[in-house]
Amino acid sequence: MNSKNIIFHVTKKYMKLNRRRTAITFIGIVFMVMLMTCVFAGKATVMKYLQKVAALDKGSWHMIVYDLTPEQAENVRSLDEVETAGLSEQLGVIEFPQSGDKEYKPFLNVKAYSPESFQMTNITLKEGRLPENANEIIISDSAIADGSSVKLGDTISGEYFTRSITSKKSGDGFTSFPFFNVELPYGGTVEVSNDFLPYFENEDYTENRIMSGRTGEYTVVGIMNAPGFEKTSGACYSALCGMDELAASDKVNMMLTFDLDKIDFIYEFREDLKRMIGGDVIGETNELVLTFAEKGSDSSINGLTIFVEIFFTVLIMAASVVLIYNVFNMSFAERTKYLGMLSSVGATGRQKRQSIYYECFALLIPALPVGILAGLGVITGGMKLIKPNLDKLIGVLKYGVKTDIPVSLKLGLTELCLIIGMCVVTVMISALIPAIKISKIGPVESIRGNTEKSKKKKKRYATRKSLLEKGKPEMLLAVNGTTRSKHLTRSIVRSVAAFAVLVMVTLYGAKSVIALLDIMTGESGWDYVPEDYSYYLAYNKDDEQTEKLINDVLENSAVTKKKEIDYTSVRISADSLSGEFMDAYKEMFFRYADNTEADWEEHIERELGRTFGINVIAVDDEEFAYLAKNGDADMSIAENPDEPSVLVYENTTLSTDYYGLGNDLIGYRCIEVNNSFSSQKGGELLVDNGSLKPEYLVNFSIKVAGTVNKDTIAERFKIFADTPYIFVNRSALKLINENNGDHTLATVLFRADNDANGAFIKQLSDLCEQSVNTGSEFVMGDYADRNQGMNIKQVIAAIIKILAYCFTALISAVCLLNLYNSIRGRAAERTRETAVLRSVGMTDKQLTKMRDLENLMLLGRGLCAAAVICAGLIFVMYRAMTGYFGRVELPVPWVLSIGIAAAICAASSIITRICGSSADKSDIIEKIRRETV
Amino acid sequence: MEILRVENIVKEYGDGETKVRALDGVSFSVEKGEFVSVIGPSGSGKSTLLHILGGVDKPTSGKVFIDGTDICSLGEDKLAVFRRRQIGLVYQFYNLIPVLNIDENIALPHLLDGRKLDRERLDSIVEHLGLNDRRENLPSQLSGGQQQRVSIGRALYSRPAILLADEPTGNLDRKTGDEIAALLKESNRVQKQTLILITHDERLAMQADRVFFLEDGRLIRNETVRAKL
Repeated sequence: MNSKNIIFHVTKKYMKLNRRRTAITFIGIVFMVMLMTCVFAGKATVMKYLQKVAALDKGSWHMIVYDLTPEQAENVRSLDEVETAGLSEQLGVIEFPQSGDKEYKPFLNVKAYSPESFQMTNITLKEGRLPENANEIIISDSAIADGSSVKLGDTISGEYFTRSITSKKSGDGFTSFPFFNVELPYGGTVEVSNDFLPYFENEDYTENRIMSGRTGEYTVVGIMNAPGFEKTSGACYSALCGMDELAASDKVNMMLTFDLDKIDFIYEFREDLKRMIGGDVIGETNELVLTFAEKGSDSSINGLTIFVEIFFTVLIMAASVVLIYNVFNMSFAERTKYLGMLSSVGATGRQKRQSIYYECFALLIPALPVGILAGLGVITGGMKLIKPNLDKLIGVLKYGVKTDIPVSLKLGLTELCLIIGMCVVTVMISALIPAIKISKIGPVESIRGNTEKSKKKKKRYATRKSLLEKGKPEMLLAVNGTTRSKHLTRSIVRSVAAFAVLVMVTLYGAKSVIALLDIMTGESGWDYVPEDYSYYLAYNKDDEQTEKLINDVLENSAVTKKKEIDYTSVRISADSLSGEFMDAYKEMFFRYADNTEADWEEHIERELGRTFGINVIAVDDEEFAYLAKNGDADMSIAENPDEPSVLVYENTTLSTDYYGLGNDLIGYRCIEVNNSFSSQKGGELLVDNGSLKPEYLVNFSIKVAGTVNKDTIAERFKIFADTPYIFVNRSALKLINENNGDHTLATVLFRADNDANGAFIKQLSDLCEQSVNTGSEFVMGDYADRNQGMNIKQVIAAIIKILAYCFTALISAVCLLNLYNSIRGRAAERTRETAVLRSVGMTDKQLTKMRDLENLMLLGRGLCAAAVICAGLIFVMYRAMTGYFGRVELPVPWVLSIGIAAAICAASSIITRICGSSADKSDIIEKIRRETV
Repeated sequence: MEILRVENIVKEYGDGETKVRALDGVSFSVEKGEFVSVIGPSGSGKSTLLHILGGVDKPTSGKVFIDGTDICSLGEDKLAVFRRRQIGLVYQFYNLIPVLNIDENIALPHLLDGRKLDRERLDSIVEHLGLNDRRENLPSQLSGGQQQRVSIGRALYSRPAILLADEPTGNLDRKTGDEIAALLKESNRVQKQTLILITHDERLAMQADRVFFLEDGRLIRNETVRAKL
């Protein structure tokens, strides 16, 4: 047996001898492996799950390449990077005689899909089966919902055509259809998309059909859930048929999924692909799916994902290092004894260090499979726990789709390597300091158990006279116990500090990430907060017919309370905006790499030289006065209903998501501006009607009653402002409309408490449905459901919020284990001391009091240390996050901090009592007899 | 005047086949101010007897009266109060509180009793023990002999009814052991402190007023020492 083997052999013997200590170290290491598994495999699992969620939107494909010849398609398919390739072909539009809504949806928009394409687009059948050839077709169930008579086995046939519209107007000018990107010159004809509304014939233009000569005859074999690409407002229902052999002249689209490990940057690959198959070929990427594969172009979400991963890994490492280090440190005295014996027979410092590392790795090897399995168990359990919430969110996102997306664990080679690698590094770091300390202790000190440095021999420990003379033995013991026995108390102080720091930093990080996500995924808009209303109606006020209808209807005696809030927009002089706002705007401008100072000057001159578009919320005079009173306003102006006045809303969040000011975005940036306006109380806001022609330009001013901000309006309004907002009174709205024309969107909130049998609401709902056909269009809804609509980014943000809180809970569990281990370890090492105290007449009550006092003192020290460390770390995190994502408010959650401190105090007190009472139950004699050196 | 009376004490450990009878019907009494030493081979039950007398262990049967109180009938808290007022315990391995300095260790039982520090008595004891220059040291900074002195100081500070010493010199060299023995004898002689001493050291045992011989848990001899060394 060589020297190394004998060291390991003896270490192993002592590990067996000290089963309790070995077990605690093992549990600590298992915990670490488990947490690493949670981070890496958990992240991979969640990302895979989120990819599936994201695929609900458009499908699971990564890229669609349009208009390929069959030969080009074959070339693409043969690429190494391509995993799955599916073909699709836009066949065009045919008549749909079985439509239940012939006036508004008379056509079928038919696409041909290969079997792979059906899979990649998440086509789900409500009945029947998928098409197996080019003569079979499936129809969207939205047709059935609209009353179509079509059923399985029916035949649909017709000639394909494209659509165009011809203007009947003469002279210069054009009619614009901004939602369809169509501009129709007077007297001209333009081609329109399949989604264009069916305006067959009216006084302004007429619709034409250009027959393609291609015909189709299909048997209906299935009804599918409305696919993601179907536009509810278009003229077509969707239909998909199968695909046969392609003719060389055909143009097809190709849906692709890639082996993403082989692709570094999807956009570089797209460019390569373009070069290979011809420069004009357009490739569309499935952004969200790629984002959750960490290959997307949405740098904000990508950056956030990486930040969250690094942040949680560092926290796990920190928690594990503290836990394992504490375990090693607490067994220091015990360990030095046998290592001293080895030292006395010639073991070198290096060999002693090796024994520590041997112990670590001897425990790490079995801990790896145990921890990984436990981690996978935690991920499975955690996902099961949060899945009902996730399904609910997905249900909100996509009503009626199958929301039971199965969670499948993902533990690939990469994850496995990361887990093992990080665990090895963590164990090395954890054992480093104990190993160095132990290697420096000489044989005699080790064997005697006297590991204190020699200078301590001479140190004097002054008598605590005040405590001694006042007769406060519990306090005397507590003070001395916490200040003179650093070896035992340090681990508790460290655990308390680590607990507070890790939980606080995790929560701060999680809350900040959530705040950032809220900003990144927030959609511009406002909400009236008080829950005093049951329903809402929304309509355009420029339609007098609708306005009259609404006003008449709401005069009904069933309506007991109503409030009208109007929304419009105006352009104000750029001079009315503050320097802070303009600086932020400029910073946005320079987030685009190709923008120069000259461009900025030109932009200012061209875009902002005159005016800047802002949002206007018009409220009744009572509401206006209330907002003014809570804000900083001149009430003599605000309470005068005859004077047009405005309250400027100071908070605006500018982001690169909203302001597209160039082509080459460097990276996401958002900036919260807290003083958006230069016009202040008593001043004037210069407004114009936004006309580009000087002869039509009208300027006017509105008195500024004062300023409000998100806090002062919090009880009434919640605004996500990516452009500035103002509140105006009715007089001001009138003035704006007189000058700008009425483009107001009105929202009327109301209660109908006198509508006992629901007849009024039923009548209103019917009116609402009919309004589409009568031209007096308005929408109606339950007030409580007004914010239910979520986009996919918001759903994903909500999922990340849940995961962040789960992780915080997990970190708290590790910290709690660490705290328990430290307190228990100290109690275990002091059993003899406790027995002696009892033998000299200390009662249980006195012992409990002493322990409580000690606990308080250690908590105080731990929390003080935590406060200092937290302050530093939070500052660093704040700087890192705001530096990367933008200048946003990431407030320190003070209330939560106090809550965390209180929770730690409670946990520590309970653990101290539990450990103390179990120590008290053991036999005094046994402990006194347990001889020490 | 009788300060201690022990009636038919039995102490058993374990049960079934592993049951061990550590004390088997031990009875005796001790007069106030008397110095009694207990000797016997290892495993004879000396320490068990001492722990029962000190109220840190309870007999399986039998009674122990100290100054007229049956300590076996006392509850945990009352027994703790009894220990700090009536008993002074000196152990072979000192059993000092590691985080308290000399003064604090000595005064501890007194403070636990809710009484104010008697500074004069503390000074005199420390002086007498020869520890004046070590008062602000922790036990770990002292030699074995010094630690045992502190242990004796702690036991004597509250003027207990009985001082129980469990092989107090067993862990010390001869010279230091003699010094400790001298201190104990002096407390018995000068302060009339009742002293029960367990020892393997026959020479020390013979300096007592009486010697109890224990063997297999039974008191086989109770001899008065006629001529002290």
